[in-house]
This record gives sequence, structure tokens and C-alpha cells, in this order.
Amino acid sequence: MKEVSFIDFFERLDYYPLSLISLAIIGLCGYFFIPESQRGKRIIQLSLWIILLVASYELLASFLSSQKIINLWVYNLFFTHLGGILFLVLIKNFLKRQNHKKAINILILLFLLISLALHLSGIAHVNDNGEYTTALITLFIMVGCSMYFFELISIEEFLMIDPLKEFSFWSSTAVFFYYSSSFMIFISFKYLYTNHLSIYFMVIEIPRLMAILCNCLFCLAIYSELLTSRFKLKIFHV
Amino acid sequence: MSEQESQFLLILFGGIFFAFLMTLFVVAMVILHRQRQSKNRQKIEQLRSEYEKTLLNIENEIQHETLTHVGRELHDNIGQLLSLAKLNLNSAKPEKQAEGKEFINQIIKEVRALSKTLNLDWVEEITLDDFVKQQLQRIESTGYCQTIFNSDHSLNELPKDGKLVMIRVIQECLNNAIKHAAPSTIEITITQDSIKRKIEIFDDGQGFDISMHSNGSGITNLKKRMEAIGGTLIISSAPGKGTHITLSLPF
Repeated sequence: MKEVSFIDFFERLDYYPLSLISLAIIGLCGYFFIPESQRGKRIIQLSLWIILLVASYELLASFLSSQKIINLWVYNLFFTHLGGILFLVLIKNFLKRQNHKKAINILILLFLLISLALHLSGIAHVNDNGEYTTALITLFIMVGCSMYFFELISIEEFLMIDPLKEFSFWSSTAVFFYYSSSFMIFISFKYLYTNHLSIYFMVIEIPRLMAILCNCLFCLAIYSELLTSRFKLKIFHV
Repeated sequence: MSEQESQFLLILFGGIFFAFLMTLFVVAMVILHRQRQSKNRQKIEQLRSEYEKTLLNIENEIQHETLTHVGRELHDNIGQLLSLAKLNLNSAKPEKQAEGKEFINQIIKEVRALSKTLNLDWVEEITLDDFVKQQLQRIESTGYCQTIFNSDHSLNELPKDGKLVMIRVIQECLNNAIKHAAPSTIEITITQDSIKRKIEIFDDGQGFDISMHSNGSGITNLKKRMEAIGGTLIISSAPGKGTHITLSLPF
């Protein structure tokens, strides 16, 4: 059995997993600092789950990579499937129309069914780059975000608020930017990694920075109530 | 430029262009939201001013009706009582003078009752059931027609503005029935179901062709007034078959 090398693992930890772990710890602490009434909020819970999930799978992927073990299944399972579904559920919580909420449920179910079919038929594999499933979940998340933006300009409840002070707006925008800007990179990972390694290392920074930005935003959402009550400053409404 | 550099530039500019498009999309959404928000605010302001205007008109109309009623009472009732009191008090007989004093007491009571109707405070004190009963009694006392009133008291807890509008609309419906329908019976029923409370006004008078009158300012005005308090007015009528008016108000 291969011996576990923690030195390799710690050497491999760069700014990206360290930032995500820091944000996860800050978010978790914040969750226990906020009043209990706030902890029950679905959006706060989802924000916490997302930052914990992202930090966990990036840490696991870094560890596996440092031990020279294939880590693609980690991204396939946690980033594409679990993370994608969590983002869709988060967007669902922002939506007001019942038929849009139902549409998100259908998209989640459809994604799981298509993914299952792709894996069972052998088109996709748990240890490949997951181009198909990533493209599909990206598309569904962008559809979800578009539904939110459509509601933003058409529902009276949203017309009464300032979107720039609304967490749902910034969160949807961040998720929309994250997935749309990373879309081309996700599906060309294999090609870039095989043929243009230097370009791969350059462009991989885009989804990494976007992931940190998203997690910062979710962390801020957890702390929003504390900041509001401490500084009498409403950064955004969660 | 090497192939790798050109590919890198292509990806870089493609990415920048894509990010620019996304930014443009989000900014467009915010601008669109702001525009709709401003339109929505204007619409709300317009609705509010229309609502206030409707209420003001209704208050004016009620006050006008009240003044007419006061004038009629002063002339027909209090004027007569004063004349009788004067006659009796001028008499030397003590029993006539006592009768004159009784008339004076009655006049004081009548004037007090009349003075209460001069401002709109009575609207707050009276329930819609009592108001409808008063109106129907007034009609019946003239011998004009029979009246029937049924209520489950579901409209007794209305706010003042809503009550004002309902009072005016009911008054107008009854006026119309008396002026144009020549009914032998007018029936008013107040009921509620799970989603709304409603007042139904039936008369068995001449009726009219709704298609001829649906655009008339009277009906339109009444409908607008009901809409101002979130309610609706539905009229069904046919020549010779009477008129059925339903005023609905959601909870």
C-alpha cells in the first residue's frame, strides 16, 4: 500500500484551497454567532453548505492530487453534481413564482436522470473530465439565473426593492458570472491540459477566482445580520 | 507570434468579450429594473391620487346629500314644530303652554339629531347593516315600495374609507332603482364566502338593457369606485326582469 505523504500535500496547498478553507471556517464561525432566528433561514443554511462543500472537495482533491491519485471523481461528484444542485436550490429559493420553482425542481431531476443515463451508457465516466455533465449543469444554472432576472424585472415584489442592496441579486449575478465565464474552460479542460498546459494553468485561474468571489459573497450573507446590527449598516438584505 | 501565444490571446480576448457581454446583460437588467420601478412608482402614485380623489368626491356627495336632507328636515319637520310651538306658547291657557314646551323639547332633540349628520363622524359610528336598514326604512316610510333586508353582519367591520365608498355606492344604486325602475320590492342581502364578502341588491322593477347602458358614466363611475377599494360591481338586468347588482369586496 502506498504511503501517505503529508509534506507533498502541504506543499501543494496554494492560495486557492487555503482561501476556501479560511472562508469556510469564517462562515462556520459566523453561523454560530448569528441569532438563532437567522440560522433557520434557508438561504443562510444553503450559503453555509455551499462554502463548506467547496472547501471540502477542493481540500480532498488537493490531497488526492498530492498523493498522485486521480481526483477527477471528486470534481464530478461534488462540484458538478452536488455543488450544481446546491446552486440550483439556492436560486430556487430566490424565485417567487411557483411555476419557476417547479421548473427548477424539474431541471434538477432532469440533470440527475441525464447524468445517470450518460454514466450507465458509458458516454460519461466518473473519472473523466465530466464535459457533458458540466455543460448541462452550467446550462441549467444559467436558465435558473435567467428566470431570476426575469422575475426581477416583472414581479411587483422585486420592483419595490433596490436590487443593489439585495443578496439574491448579487448572489445570482456572481453564480451567473462564475458559470458563464468558466463554461468554456470547464468543457475544454482535457484539450488544454493535454495540448497547452501553460494556457491551462493561466485560464484555470478564472474559475478559481470566481469561486473565491462567490464564497466571499456567501460568507458575507451569513454575517449580514451581524454587520447590520453592529454597524447599523445594511449592506444587503438576505 | 507563436501558435501558443496566438491561442492564448484568442482565449483571452474571447473571455474578455464574454465577460463584457455578461456584464452588459446584468447592467441592462439593473437599468430595466430601475425603469420599471420608476413606472411602477408612478402607477402607484396615480392610483393613490385617484383613490384620494374618489374619496373626496364621495365625501362631497354625501355632504351634499346630507345638506339636502337637513334643508328638507328644517323646512318640513322642525319648521312645522316651531310654528306649532309658537302657536301654543302664545296661548294664555297653561295646558297649551305646557304642550308648547313639549314641542320645544322635541325640537331640541330633532336639532341635536340633525346636527350629528352634518359632519361625517356618523360614518364611523354607523355599521353598514344599520345604514342599509335606515335607507330601506326611509324608502318604505314613503310608501314607495316594499323592502327586504338580510344580513350575516359580515360587512360590519369595514374601515372608514371602505365604508364611505360602500355607503355611497349603495345610496346610488337605491336612488337609481327609485328614479328609473319603479319596483314593487327592493331586496338587499349581505353574505360572505371563503374569499369575499358581497352585497346583493335586487329590484323587481322595469330593468334595462345592459348593452345600452354599460358604457354610461353612472355605472362606470360606480364600478371605478368599487375598484378603488379593491372590490367589484356586477350588474345583471333585462327589460321587464328587474335588476340584480352584486358588490363584492375581498377579505
